[in-house]
Amino acid sequence: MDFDRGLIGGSALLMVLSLLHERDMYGYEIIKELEERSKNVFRFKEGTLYPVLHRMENMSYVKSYRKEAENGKERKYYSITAAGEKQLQEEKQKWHSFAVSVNMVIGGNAYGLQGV
Amino acid sequence: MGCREYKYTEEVLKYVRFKYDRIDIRQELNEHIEDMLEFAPEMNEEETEAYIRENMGDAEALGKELDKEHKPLLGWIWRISRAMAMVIAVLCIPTVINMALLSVYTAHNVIVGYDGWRSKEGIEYTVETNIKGKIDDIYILVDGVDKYENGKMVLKYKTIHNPFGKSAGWTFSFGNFYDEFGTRYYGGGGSGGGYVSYQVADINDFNPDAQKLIIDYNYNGRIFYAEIPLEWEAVK
Amino acid sequence: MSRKKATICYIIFIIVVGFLFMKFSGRYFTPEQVLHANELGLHYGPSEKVLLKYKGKDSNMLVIGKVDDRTLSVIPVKRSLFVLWKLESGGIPGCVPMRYEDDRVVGNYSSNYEVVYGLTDLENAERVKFYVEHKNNDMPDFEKRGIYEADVDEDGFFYMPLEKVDEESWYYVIEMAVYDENGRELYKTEW
Repeated sequence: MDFDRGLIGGSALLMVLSLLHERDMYGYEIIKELEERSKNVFRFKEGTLYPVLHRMENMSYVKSYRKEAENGKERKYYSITAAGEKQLQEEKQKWHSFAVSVNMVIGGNAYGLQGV
Repeated sequence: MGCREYKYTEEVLKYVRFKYDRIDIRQELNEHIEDMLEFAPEMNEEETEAYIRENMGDAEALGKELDKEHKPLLGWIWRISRAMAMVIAVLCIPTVINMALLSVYTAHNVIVGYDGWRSKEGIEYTVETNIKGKIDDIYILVDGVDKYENGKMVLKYKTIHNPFGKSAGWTFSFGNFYDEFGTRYYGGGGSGGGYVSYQVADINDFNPDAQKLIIDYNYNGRIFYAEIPLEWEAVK
Repeated sequence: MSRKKATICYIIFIIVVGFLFMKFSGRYFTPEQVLHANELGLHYGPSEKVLLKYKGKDSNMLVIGKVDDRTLSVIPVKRSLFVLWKLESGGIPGCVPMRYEDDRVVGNYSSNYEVVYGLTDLENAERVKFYVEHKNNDMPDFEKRGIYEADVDEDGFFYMPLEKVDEESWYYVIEMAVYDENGRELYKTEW
């Protein structure tokens, strides 16, 4: 299945923050990580990541800095802030509630949902 | 580091109105494209641009989304306020240095006290007072009078200038003194600068029979009146 | 830090540090503020009205205020940092009581700006005439420079700029006379 959407969607924030929670990354790295983890279900128009990142920085959820990447070239890295961590928890909660509600509608009692 | 320009990026940037942020965005997008092209097959320029467009998404849409996060109004206010802050910081330097020196001088005044302005040698008697007053933004505390063996009298008083008041900082001194008979004496003497100034006024040939030293300042609506009963106490 | 937060920080900095900077470096937004601050600093006034802001050379300005019917407040100011004002160093007339004889008030002369100014409380005074002499080091004695006239305004204030003959000369006002609207002499004096 190919979801050919942009990242301009509600779950973008959750997924990107979640990745940055693990470690600092730069844009291309984030895209590749998303593709890999979703087993290529999510394949985005890669440019759409950047408005998301810039908005997160405006809201102080992430900070950016330049650093040398593993390929030897300098890249703009993003790191999550304390406010970002807090927002990540909130987004996780919202996602969980959302998922639970949908599953209750379609199958009753948190159908198919394992501890998130 | 993106010496190469990509038509795609330039088209995106057309929609970013705040021009000062374009440099950074250009670099970030071009670096992404660079990474993306590394594992792409060999292509000519036309094919490359098409490949980029296919993977990155619509340039106009991206440009407009980015523009939302780089609003020119905030950008300009940020640039202007940053410039103004830097200008003020630089302008402050001489003033800060001046204030620091003035503060050191003030501290020195406070530590040395009246001893910096009059010799303790030969003081026979003294009388302490605790008279307070205010003229505009200057607080005046009269601390007392010293009398020397040779009859000279020295009035000691502090003036404290409130730097946050409306007035500019001029030092204030008393010039005239009286006894209870109405005789006027001129007294000048040493004083300091700084926010706190210890001042002494030498009063010569004061009537030895007079029992009071009177300060009667009354000019332009400012009044400071004090009577100091000369109840001498021997020193030492 | 997000740009919005940084901007707020800068603005707070500008306001707080800017205020402190102006306070401690004796700078003000208008010449009138310089006038009033120095009046209080010199312990007179403040003026109830500003009578004159006379522009001298090089962005200097003489500010004259009316303290009361017999007293002028004269403070020289100058521009600082293009948009601010501060006290000009040098001689500061400050509180200038108009010399009065027979309860009349006459005039005074400022040499910074080559302006003669004065105050009169004569009721019908409309015009003032000055008789001026000048001298420089090459001249043996004062020579007549000319007769200058000025109008008296509703506050009793008058002023007259004197153009300098040359850089070396200085001026001396010999005589001053006050007239009413019909040209009748109300008062005449001599220094």
